[in-house]
Amino acid sequence: MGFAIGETTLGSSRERCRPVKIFEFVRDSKSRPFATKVLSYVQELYTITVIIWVVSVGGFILVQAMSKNGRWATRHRRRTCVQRWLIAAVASVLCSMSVAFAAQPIANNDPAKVEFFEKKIRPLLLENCINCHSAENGGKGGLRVDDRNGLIEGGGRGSSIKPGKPEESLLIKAVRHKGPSMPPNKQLTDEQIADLEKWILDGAAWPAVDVPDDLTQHKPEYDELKKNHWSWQPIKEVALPQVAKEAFVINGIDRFILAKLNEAGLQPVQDADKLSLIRRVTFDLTGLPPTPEEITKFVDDTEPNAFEKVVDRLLKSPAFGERWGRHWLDIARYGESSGSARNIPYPHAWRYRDYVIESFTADKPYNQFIREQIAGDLLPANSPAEKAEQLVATGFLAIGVKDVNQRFKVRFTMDNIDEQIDTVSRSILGLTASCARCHDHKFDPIPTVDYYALAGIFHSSDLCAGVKSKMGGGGLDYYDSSLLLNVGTESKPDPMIGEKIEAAKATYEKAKAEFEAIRGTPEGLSLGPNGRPKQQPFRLRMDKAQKDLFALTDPAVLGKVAYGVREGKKIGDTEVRVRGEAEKIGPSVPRGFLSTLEFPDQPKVNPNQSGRLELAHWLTSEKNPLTQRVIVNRIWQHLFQQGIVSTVDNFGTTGDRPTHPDLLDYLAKQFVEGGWSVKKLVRTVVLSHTYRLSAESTAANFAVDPANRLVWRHSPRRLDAEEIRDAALAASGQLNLSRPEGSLAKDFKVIEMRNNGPEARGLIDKSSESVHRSVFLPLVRGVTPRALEVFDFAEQGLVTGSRDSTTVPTQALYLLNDPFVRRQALAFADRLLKNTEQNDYDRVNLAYRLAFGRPATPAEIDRANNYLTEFEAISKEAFAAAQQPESNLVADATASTTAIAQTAPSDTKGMTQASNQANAGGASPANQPVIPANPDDIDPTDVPVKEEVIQAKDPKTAAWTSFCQALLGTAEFRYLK
Amino acid sequence: MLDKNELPILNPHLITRRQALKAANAGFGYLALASLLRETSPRTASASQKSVSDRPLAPKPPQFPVKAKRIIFLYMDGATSQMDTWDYKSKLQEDDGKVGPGGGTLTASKFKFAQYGETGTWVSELYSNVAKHVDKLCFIRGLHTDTPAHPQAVIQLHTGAAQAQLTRPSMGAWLMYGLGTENQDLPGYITINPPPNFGGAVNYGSAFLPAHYQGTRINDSGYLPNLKAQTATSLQRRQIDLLQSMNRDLSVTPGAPDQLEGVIQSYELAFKMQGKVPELLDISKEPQHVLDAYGVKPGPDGAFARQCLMARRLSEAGVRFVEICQPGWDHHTNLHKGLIKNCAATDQPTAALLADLEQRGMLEDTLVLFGSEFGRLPTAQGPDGRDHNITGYPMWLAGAGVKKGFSYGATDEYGRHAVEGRMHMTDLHATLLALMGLDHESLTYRYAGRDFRLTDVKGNVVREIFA
Repeated sequence: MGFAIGETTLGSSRERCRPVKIFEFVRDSKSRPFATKVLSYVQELYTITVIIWVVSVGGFILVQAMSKNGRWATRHRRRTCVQRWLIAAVASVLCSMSVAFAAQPIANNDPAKVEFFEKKIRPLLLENCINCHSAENGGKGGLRVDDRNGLIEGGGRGSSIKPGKPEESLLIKAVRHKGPSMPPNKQLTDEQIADLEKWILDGAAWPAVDVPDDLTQHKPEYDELKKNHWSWQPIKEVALPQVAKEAFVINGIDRFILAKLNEAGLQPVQDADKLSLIRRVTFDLTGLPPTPEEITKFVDDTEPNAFEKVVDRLLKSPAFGERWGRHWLDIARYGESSGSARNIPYPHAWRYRDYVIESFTADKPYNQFIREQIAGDLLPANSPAEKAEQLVATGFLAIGVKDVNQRFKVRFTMDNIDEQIDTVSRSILGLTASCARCHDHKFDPIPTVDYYALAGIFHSSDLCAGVKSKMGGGGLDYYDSSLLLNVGTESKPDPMIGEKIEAAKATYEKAKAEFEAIRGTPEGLSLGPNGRPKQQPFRLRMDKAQKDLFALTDPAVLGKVAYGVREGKKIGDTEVRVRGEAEKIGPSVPRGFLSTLEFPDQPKVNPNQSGRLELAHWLTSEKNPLTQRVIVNRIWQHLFQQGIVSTVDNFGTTGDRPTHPDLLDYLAKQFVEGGWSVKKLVRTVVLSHTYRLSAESTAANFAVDPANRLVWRHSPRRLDAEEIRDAALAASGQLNLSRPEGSLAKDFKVIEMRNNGPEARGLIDKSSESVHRSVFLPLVRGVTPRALEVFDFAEQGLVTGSRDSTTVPTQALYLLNDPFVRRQALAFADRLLKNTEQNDYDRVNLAYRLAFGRPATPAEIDRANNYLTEFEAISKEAFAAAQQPESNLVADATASTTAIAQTAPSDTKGMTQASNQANAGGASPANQPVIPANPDDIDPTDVPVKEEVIQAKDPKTAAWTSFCQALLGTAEFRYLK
Repeated sequence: MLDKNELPILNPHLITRRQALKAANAGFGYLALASLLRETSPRTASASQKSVSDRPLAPKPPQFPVKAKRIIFLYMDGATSQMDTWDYKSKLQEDDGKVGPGGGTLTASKFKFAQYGETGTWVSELYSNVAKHVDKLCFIRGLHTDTPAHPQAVIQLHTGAAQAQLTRPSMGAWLMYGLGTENQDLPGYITINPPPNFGGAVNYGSAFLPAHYQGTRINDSGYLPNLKAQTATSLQRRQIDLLQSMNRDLSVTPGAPDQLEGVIQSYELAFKMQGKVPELLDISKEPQHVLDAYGVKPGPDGAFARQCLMARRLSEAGVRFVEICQPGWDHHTNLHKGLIKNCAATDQPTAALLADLEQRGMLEDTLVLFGSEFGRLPTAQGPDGRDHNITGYPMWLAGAGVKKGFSYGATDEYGRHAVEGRMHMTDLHATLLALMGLDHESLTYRYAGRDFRLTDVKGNVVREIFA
């Protein structure tokens, strides 16, 4: 029995000019469900005859499909899918002739032709080509012959076969040794060439991809899940619970919390004291400690709205945007390089970082914030500045981890799309949609077709991260300046630029031609006097010329650029990839959204655009319950240490259930009614009575709810890595609150970085010296600044809704010995000693206020003074001893407060010059990059670590420095009550 | 915040958070064990459900008997040519210069091979020292992997998967998660001179596992950040005493963080580490005959010897997983001299390590693994090179849990494709975990709604090589 289905979708990702694409599924009579389901093969099915035929004979089907939804609609895709098969069955009975007729032009899996392929062509390819051109064996030149689409798409030289047109097929030219000669040093027989020609002429038959049955099977359990799982039900109208103790209630939140507590027989603990409260709220809202003046003001303010005043002040501070923007950057897996197999810098990623911070500072409505990140390029803009901002926003989709060394473009594309789908679905929806890449989602109702409906949207967009994929490249090979978004020019135009470019281009072309001429020849591979292949200097000359050319033509040099996405050149649906394998093409799926969440009047993909705009509207629709619940829950988590749903990135069936479902919906409703304002919601939450509870534990409550899921107290928390560093800078008085321009990695060339090379080392050192807020530290993947690394910083490749909070000795070692900490301790001591009016009693008190936000007790002051006295006495001996030149524990005391001695690197291997690290432009000849012939052949030697010895100028300062460092190392410094 | 949705230690009825953290600090795989032992299926287990489980949190032995307590991995970065070292093929020697199956010019090894030991195993003259230990070795000769490019293959060797869009935890991190550490004064997972590219830190990272399972990277001079005390010991001790008294004061105040005990311990441990770890990493105090046996010398040529000796010292001290690295095997060109140089750098130290471990009785519970991310082709590339080959290549194991003088699997007559005892990289991982007493199918971690494994959805334990 045969099923024939025709349908129209506009455009196609794979076809250039065909306006209408006809898909054909023919059911095999035997076990394989859809023998010709391999829709790539349908690519050839575009003769007028067929179109006319389908329009007339298959009209019935089309009318069915079109009249309902205009096209194969995304809504009820699953159901429609089933309907379609039924319709198809009927249609196939009605016009059984259609099968034979329509299937004919596909030709590429005609059994006789497949047999010809198996007998003549496959052995030929195996014998002569596969060793260099296959997934297993290299894919030289990006070409693979073990996949039909690999041959059609071709490698670096373009398409290798054009089915039906042997005379236009590069493969035939190559085997005839006209153009590239393949196989090298061997000529195929005339008979073999004739076989190849016949095979191509006949449509390049290939055995069909086996599309699994379940791809098109309706899953009743999905219907149940959709109906029943809490998270994707509409937001409920909830009534405020009545509580016995009305006095507790400041706002609605308290009712929900108190009602649950009472249900469990628990009472909330008493309120936090004012000192704890201002420290808590200041860190929570700004990531910074309150200043002693702010603390005093609040403590002395006896007005009933004293706390409200503090909260409003904090919400207005730019520090709010820096703190809450960083929360989003965790979720957006922000990083300034590609990470993965070859770590290629993203020197412009910081624009997205700044965009995020500014959005939170300005309290940009969250729905707009999301829309800009998904489809900023498609939104109307009132000014060039707004346009630029919206373009930068799409960096969200571009800054993920990428494997630029991926040999096959189709895999690079599909892997990046997967990364985008994973990020978007988990960050915004709390759904793990990328599980459906290879098979229907095991736990949540996300069928594979839904995944590819989304994939079509991203497939229709160009991913602009300034990089392209290449196998085995080196130098600037991965850089693609056409994949950058222009967000403004800043330099004056050079009147001579045209001539300069022409000259540089000519030099480059010449150098390239010279290199190509010698490359791979026996002469080129033979070794020169320096033991390197003789072709190497040619390559270096070419690289140099290329760099000079880039300096004149690169948009990143000539203006401001950002990463992001733009509409693709090809707009259209994409096909299911069977078992997630990029090359195994299944049926095409109309672009659309997840059927997990369907709501009335949801947007439909514009057939002439990628669909990102509609995706953005779908995500931020007021009727989409997930987006709201997920963000509200994230905000709650950042204020209470755990979400109402503890699995903040997973609202699916494997995620946790909400402890307070009604509260979650109440907050979501408030949030949307408040114009999706993050600040308003934060304000409401922190002004609740619940937020103001003490961190004190009671045995009775602990026995019932030790994890504090019901919020009977305020859970204490450790400061995040950024807060610990910022608080140390604040205590020492060194903190620079201004925003640095760009990033310390902004001048990096788009050249692979090794994590022990001079760039990495320089970045680590500069990060250590920086006194800006931690959110501005450079975040090249794999080269995390030490201050962040030791305190559970977000894993930069992954959506991180909640960080770990571990306690390990590495942290203690850092706080005892790291130059950054020691510098801050020294500056802290200087700050205290600077005021000569003060006595040591006052100084200790101030130190406590700066470090812990509270005054010291008399006992603490005594302890401190004893310590200082003793330490100073012992230090005096040490300082005396240090006058001996050989001592290195205590550096020479000089007039300056800090003496930094750079000792020789303790590297027994001896220092060797990094061999292939091209550095930022304008390198002196001595620093000229040396790029080896084999870019994988890199110097493994660590660039030695600069050892800094930081010492106080005199015993008194040394004692105070030691004391201050102890304060920074305590648990009290890094925990909030 | 400690709720990365997979901390099954938080059983409120039976254990307090503080106790649990203590347990976690104590290592010994509480976390993983709890995961291994949990009753509920991954399908239904979630953070909160786990926390109300009725099951006591008693550590139980892993499902497999422990054969090896620790691993030393000698990683040959860049892919060693097996036909010039471990995989002797007489047919290749005979057919030198002929066109091989699938094209390319077959190229015999230019190095002499001989049979060694009672097993009569063929080994190249390049490894004449290791060859003396050949009866201790357990070869796996039918390995294959997925991607013939270093960056992905190196990442796959170390993490099981090479998909960039989701970084996976490294094998060592999985071992840390599953087994904890033996020596509380030391990191449990140390990698010396790891490749600075090809994924870099990904290869010893913890990805979505908690950060403390990640490998500690040191170089062969033993540099570890922040390890060197910056103040005289007596003064630093005073400082720590002051700090600890402040911490103890805090611990008796209301609302003190649960992790306080952990913070206090972390300082004591750090203080000890400052003393012990540099001592441990300092090989200069080894007797001269030991230094000579390993061939320790200054400069890059002695780097591997230094690493071997450090590896022995670290293993002896109880480090669970030590990886050391010899780079520079990517011989597309300069094969002949390159092999001579690299084998000279690795032969003597590797042999010395085997002898030293044996002499100390450590081969009983220490597993040594030697090899690359893939192999090379029997055919020529240019005048003096060989290209990558992922379809068949060897590695060898020695020591705890594996057969001695044994060879499993084989490649074809030219050494190109694995034809017998085929073992995918994932099978190797499954087998290594099994040797360490872990079931690769049960060692899971819930992330993004899914239970992840080192072996993903594949992996077969090759029991044939078990002693």
